[in-house]
Amino acid sequence: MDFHSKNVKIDNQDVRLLLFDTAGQEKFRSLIPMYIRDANIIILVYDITSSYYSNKFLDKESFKHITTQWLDQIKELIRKDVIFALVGNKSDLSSSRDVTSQDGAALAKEKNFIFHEVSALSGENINSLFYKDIFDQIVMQFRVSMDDPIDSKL
Amino acid sequence: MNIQNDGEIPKYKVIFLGDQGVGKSSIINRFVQDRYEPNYQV
Repeated sequence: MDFHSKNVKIDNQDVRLLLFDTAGQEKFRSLIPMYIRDANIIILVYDITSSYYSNKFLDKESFKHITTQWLDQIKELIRKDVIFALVGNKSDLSSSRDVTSQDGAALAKEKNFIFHEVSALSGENINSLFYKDIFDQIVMQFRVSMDDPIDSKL
Repeated sequence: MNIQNDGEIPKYKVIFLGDQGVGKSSIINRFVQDRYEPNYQV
């Protein structure tokens, strides 16, 4: 599990985001639940293209797996107040697109998730995903929740 | 504001999930290292 942290200001509060990357753990999914249990934000990432990785993936596989594998695996573990974001990456490769924006938006709407297509390569929409949509939801939690949503024990 | 500070900066845990090769690490790196953020403070 790769780990990063970043200090930001949200609604004039200093907040530290602890970012956990499950890369490399796809084959060791038994390790993931302990990270899910106290996650405040879960970002589900798929690839909008199909053929980019030398046909390593079948059509739309990473998008289908959002529901058939990832959500199915974690649904019993999550906090009640968890914020979900559905993210279609590689929007810079739209000529190889296999998952339409409408497909992504429809799934996100059904699940009440934040949705963005982004490009980590170009940076497109990365800041709107975090600074606008995710932070807005965190601010709503600040204001709505009477419980402290922060795990200060870490 | 109900957030508890107690002298220590509050923490939010963000978990990235998805198939291998979808770009989870790249998204994190872009977000963490990108210098364009009006609110970023060390």
